[in-house]
Amino acid sequence: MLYGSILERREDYAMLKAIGASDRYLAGLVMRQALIASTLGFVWGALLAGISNPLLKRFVPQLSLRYTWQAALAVLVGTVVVGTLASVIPLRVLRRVYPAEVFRA
Amino acid sequence: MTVLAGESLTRTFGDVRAVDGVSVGVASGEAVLILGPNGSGKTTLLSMLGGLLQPTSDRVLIAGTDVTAMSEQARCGFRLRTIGFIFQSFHLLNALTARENVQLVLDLAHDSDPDRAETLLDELGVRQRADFLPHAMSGGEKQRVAIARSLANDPGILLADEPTGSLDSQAGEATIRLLCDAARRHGKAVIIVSHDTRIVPRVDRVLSMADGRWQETR
Repeated sequence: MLYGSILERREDYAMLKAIGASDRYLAGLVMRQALIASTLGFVWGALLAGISNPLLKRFVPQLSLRYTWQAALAVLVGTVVVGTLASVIPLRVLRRVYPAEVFRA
Repeated sequence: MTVLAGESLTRTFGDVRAVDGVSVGVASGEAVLILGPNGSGKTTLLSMLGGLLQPTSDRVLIAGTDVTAMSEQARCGFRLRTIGFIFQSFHLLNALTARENVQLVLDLAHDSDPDRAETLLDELGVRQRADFLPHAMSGGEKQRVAIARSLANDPGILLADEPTGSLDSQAGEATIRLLCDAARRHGKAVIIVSHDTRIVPRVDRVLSMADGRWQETR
C-alpha cells in the first residue's frame, strides 16, 4: 500500500524535495503513514475478533479463542513492528525520487 | 551584485548534450527570461541553476557558494533557504489548503511566524482563498498561492519554469507582473524559463536558447 502510495504521489515527493524537504523529513512522513496504517489495521482486527468470537463460541465452540490483554498487546507490538519494517522498501523507492523530476511532471 | 552564476555548464543525457557549455549570471533585483523552444535545454539549465540537477561539468555559484560541491542533503537545505520555485502545473499539494501549502515551507524551515502565510496570501491577492483546497481555485489563484509558497522563506532567488503555461492570458500577465515585482520591489533575482514571447517586454534581460546553447541575447 505504501509502495503504491509513493509511486502514485511521486510528483508530490519530487516537489517536496525540490523546495527543500530533506530525506529525513520525507522518511518521517512515510513512517508515520506506516504506523497509522498498521495501528488502524490492528484496531480493525481487534474489533472483528471481538464481534466474531461470541459467534464462534455459540456456533463452532471448538474454534473459539480466549483473548487476553497481554496477547492483544503482543499483537499490537508485532503489527507496528511489521508495519514499520514494511516501510523499508517504500523508503528505498522514495530515495530514488529525484527533485528535478518536478519539472518533467 | 551577481547572486546566481553558472559557469560553462554542461549536462549530457547519454549521448545528448542537453546543455552545452552555457554560462549565465543574474543579479539581485533583475528579472531574466530564458526563451527557447521545447527541447532547447532551458529547463535542464534551470534545474542545474536551482541545484536540482548536477552538471556533468563545471559549477553553479549561489551567493558565492559552490552548490555543485555540496552533498544532496546540504543542497536540499540550501534550496530551502535560498531559492523559491514556481512550476507550470503549480504543484500544490491537493490535500492541503492554500494557507497550509504556504505554511508547509515555513514548517520545513522551522519558521514559527504564525502570520507569515496569511500575510503573503494577502499580498498576492488570494487571502480570501486561504482555506480553499487547490481543486476549488482557478489556475491564476493556484499560481498566486504557488508564488506565495515560493516567497515564504524570503529567498534571494526565484526560478520559474513556464509559469504562464497553464494560465489564460490575463492570469499569465498577472503572474509575470508579480514575478517582475518580486525582482524590482523586493530585490529578488528572478529567472523565468518560457517559450511565451509575450513576457519579453516585461523583463530586464532576455537570453535565447537553442540546442543547449545561447543563441542571442538582449
